[in-house]
Amino acid sequence: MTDIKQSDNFSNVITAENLSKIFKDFWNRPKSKAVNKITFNVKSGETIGLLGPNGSGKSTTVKMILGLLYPTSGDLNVFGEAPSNIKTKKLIGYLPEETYLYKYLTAWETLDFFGSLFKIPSKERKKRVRELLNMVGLSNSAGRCVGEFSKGMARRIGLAQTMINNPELIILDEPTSGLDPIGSKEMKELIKLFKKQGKTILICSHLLSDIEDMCDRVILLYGGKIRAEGSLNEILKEKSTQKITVPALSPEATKKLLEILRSRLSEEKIVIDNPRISLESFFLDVIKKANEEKAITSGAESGGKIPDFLYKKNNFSQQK
Amino acid sequence: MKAFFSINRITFLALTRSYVFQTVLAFLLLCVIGLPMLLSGDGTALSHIKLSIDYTLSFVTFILVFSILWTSCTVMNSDRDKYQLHLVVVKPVSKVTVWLGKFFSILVTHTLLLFISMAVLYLVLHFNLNSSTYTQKQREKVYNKILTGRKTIKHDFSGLKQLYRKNWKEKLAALKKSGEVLTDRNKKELRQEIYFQTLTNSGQVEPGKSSEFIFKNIKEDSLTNIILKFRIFVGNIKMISKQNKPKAAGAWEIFDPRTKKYNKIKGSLQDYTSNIFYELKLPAGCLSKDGTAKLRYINKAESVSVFFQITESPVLYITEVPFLNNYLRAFIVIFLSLVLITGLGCALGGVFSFPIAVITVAAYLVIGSISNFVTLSSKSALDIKKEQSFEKSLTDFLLSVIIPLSRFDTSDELSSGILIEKSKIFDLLFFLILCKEFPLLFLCIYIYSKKELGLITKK
Repeated sequence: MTDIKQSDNFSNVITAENLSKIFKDFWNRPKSKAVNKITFNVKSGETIGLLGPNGSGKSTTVKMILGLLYPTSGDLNVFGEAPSNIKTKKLIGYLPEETYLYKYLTAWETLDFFGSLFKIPSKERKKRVRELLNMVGLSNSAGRCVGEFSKGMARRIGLAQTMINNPELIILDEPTSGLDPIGSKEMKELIKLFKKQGKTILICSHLLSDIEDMCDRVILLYGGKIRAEGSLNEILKEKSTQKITVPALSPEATKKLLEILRSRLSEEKIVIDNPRISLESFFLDVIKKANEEKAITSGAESGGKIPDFLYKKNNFSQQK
Repeated sequence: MKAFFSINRITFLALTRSYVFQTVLAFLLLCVIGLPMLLSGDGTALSHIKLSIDYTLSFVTFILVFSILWTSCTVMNSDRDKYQLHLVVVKPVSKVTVWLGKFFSILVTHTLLLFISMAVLYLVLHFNLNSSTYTQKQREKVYNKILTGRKTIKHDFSGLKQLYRKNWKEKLAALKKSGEVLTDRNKKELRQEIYFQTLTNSGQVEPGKSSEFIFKNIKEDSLTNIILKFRIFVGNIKMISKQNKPKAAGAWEIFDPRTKKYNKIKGSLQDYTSNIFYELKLPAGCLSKDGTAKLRYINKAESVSVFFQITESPVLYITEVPFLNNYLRAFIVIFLSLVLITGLGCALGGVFSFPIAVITVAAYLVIGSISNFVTLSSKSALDIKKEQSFEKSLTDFLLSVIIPLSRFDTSDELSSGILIEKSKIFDLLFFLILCKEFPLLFLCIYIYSKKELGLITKK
C-alpha cells in the first residue's frame, strides 16, 4: 500500500462528490436522508466552517469524513484515500462535540493512551503530554480523573487529545461549547495559530460568531443539502452600504461632516453613533484586571504555552 | 501491537477501578479462605478436603463466569453507548484490534484472579490438612485418594453389546411364535427390560462361582501403584437402605502372566458389605506384555449371589501424576471455560446491546447444559441405538452448535483424585473452543468491525 502523502502535496484534503447518506430501519427501508448528494472540497491549509441548524446533516458529514459512518452513495476521499484507511487517520485530529473520554482515566493517562494509539514513542509521548497539559492549562490536574472534570476542563483535555499527533487535518465539532469566555478566546487563538501553521481545519458549529471569527470559507447545510458556500467576504459583504470608523469628533466637525453627507445622501440613510465594544471583550478586560490583582482561581489556568512540537510539520514516518 | 497493548491496559484499568470487579475479588478471597474453614463434611479428613476442593472450586468458577459475563458485555457496550469508541476508532487503530485488546484484557485479568484463587486454595488445603488434629492414617488416605492424579481404567465389557442383541432377538422370536403384537411403547419398555436384564445377569456372581474382569491398555510404567476399586450388591442390584446392609464373603485373584495362574490378592478375602466402595492394592508383576490385567472375583458366600454394576465397577486406579500436576490441569480446563465465556461475552456484547447480550449468552450456556444433561441421561452404557425422537434430534442439533459449559467442570474429578486426562483438555480446546466457538467469534468480530458508529446522535 502506498503511503499517505502529506497535505502540502495535495490541493484538496477532503473531496466529496455527490455524497449521500440514507439511514435505514431494521428492515433496510430508507428512514431518513441525512445527507443528499453534496459536493464540496476542502483545500490544504484552509479553515472551513460547516454551518447549519440541528439535523442539517453536518454531524453526519463529519462522521463520514472520520470513517465512523459509511456513505450510501457518492465519493469521499480524505488525503486521497478512503476515510476508513488507517493511514489517513494518522493525519487527523478530532474534537467531538461532547467530550467522550474514559472517566476512570486521569488527564495524563488519557493523553498517554491516545498518544500510544499513534505509536508515538514513550519518551516523546511523555514530553507531548506534559506540553499539551500545559497548553490547555491543566498541568495541575494531570493526576485527576477526567470524570471529576468540569465541562470546560473536559473540553480542554479533549482539545489536547486532538493535538497529540500534531494533525494535518483538524476537525472540531462545536469547539467553544462549554468553555468560558477566556477558554473560548484561547481556543480561537489556538485555532488561528494552527491556521497560521498551514493546518487544514474543519469547524462544525451553530455559533455563527465562532465561524465568523475563525473561518476563511463556510458551507451552509440545511436538510442535507448545501444551501450556500463561499468565502466570508463573498457571502457577507454588503455592497450597498459603507462604514467609516474614526476617533470621537467634536460637535462642529460632526456637523460639518453631516452637511457634506446630506448634500449627497437622503437623511434617513445616515446613522451616526458611538460603537459598542462586545460583551466578550468587556468580560475579558475585567478578568485581565482581576489577574493583574493576583486573584486566585481553581480549575483550568489560562495562557498556557503552545508546545514546540505543534510548530513542527507532522512527520509520521519518524513515528513508526 | 502498541495499540493492542494500550487498549489492553485501559480495559484492565477500567476493570480494576470498577466496583463490580472489587466486589468479585472480595467474594473470591472470602470463598477460597472461608469455605475450606467452614466445611467439615462427616468430620473425616477425606470428607473435609474433598468438599473443600469440590465446593470452593465450583464457587470460584461460578463467580468468575458471572464476573466475565458481566464485564465482557459491559466493556464492549459502554464504549459504544458512551461514544468513547468513536474517539478511539478515529485514531489509527482498527476495530478488530480494539476487540482483541478488550478480549485479552478481560481474559488475562480473570485468569489472574483464577490463578490467585487456586494458589490460595492450594495453600489453605495443605494448611488445613497439616494443622488439624487428623491422624497420620487419615492424612495418608487423603494423599492417596484425593491429593493425587489417578487414571481410571474400566474393565472391558464390549461383549455385552452382542449379548444384548442376542437376548433381544430371542425375545422377539419368542413373541412372534406366541403371536403377540407389540406396540411401539411396549417395544421401548421391553428393550429397557432386556437391557437391564442383560446388565444384571452379566454382573451376577453365583455362590461358589467366580467372574472374570479384563483391564486393557495399561501402561507398563504404571505398575507401581495400581488400586482396584469396586462395590458389590448382595442379593440383588437394587440400592439398599443404610440400615439394612447385607454382607457376603468374597475374594479377589489376579492372573500372573509368567506362571499363567491366578494368585490370591493379599487381604482381599473378607466379608464385603453391600453397596460400599472398597479399594485394594494390586501386587506388582500382574501385567501382561500387551498391557492387560486379568482379575476375578470369587463369591465365597454359601447361598447368595452378588452383583456388580459392570458399567461402573470394578475399576483400576493408576497414579499417573502428583496432585499439583492434576491441579494445574484443572486450572487449564477452568481457563478454557473462561476463554469460552469471555469470547461469547465479547462477541455478543460487541454486536448486541447490554441486556440482549447478557440474556443471549446466559441462554446459550443454560441450553448447552440442559442439552448435555438430556444426552447424558439418555445415553446407554451399551451404546445401543435408540429410536429417533423429536427431543433427541433437537438435543443433538443443539449440541452440535452449542457448547455445554458443564463439560468444563473438573471440581468433581479433582476432589476425587481422578486424573484430568490430556485428551480431555485437547477435546475441549480443539472441538469445543476452536471448532465451535471460534467460527462464532470470527462472525461477531466481522460484524463488529463493519458496524457503523454514531447512527444515533446523542442529542
